[in-house]
Amino acid sequence: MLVISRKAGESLVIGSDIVISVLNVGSDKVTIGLDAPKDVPIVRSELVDIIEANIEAAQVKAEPEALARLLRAQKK
Amino acid sequence: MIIETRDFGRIEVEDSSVFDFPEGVYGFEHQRSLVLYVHTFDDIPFLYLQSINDTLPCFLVFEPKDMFPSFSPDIESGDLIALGASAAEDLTFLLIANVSDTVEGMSLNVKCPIALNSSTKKGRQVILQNPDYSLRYQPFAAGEGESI
Repeated sequence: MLVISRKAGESLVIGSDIVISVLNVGSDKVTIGLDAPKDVPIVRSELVDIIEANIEAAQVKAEPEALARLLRAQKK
Repeated sequence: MIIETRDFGRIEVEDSSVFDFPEGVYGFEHQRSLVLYVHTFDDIPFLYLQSINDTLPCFLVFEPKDMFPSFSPDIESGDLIALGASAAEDLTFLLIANVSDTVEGMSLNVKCPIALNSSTKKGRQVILQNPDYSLRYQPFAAGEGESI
């Protein structure tokens, strides 16, 4: 991983059209500004997993028959 | 109203079971109206949360008391405000099930449940602060399930 130190007010550029600016540095939090083309999705990394989990969960049909059998077995 | 469901074709649902999700749910940000309906199979009521405008998203959901009895949501105040609630006790939480593998391997998203406020009819997928809660908790995996 490339590691670069930046101060508040400084920025860096990825490719030709993505600019990442450090707006403020607090004791345990940095505020970052992002300028990127509209078609570049920007998501907090912890949300990537949540989105994936949702998309997976939403698209696969649960067979009620198999589920009912499993739930009955659990209750015994 | 009549809606087209993912799993059960066209069904009639109660208007009062439709919840407004101002921000959708993660991955489905544009679906703002989701209905909670019950499909009973073999006397077991299964709960589904389904968009009223599309067949997706459709989630099989479970109440925490049935699958994760120790559930004690540490919810952020911003989420409470968005839902028009003053405390977690005002809300109904539902865990999204993922049965993509086998039913025995079913996992539940305990970290990011659906929170519903039945007074305001608002819904939101929240990210709980509970550090040990998992996106893929497997209630039926050997050794992992909580004893009920």
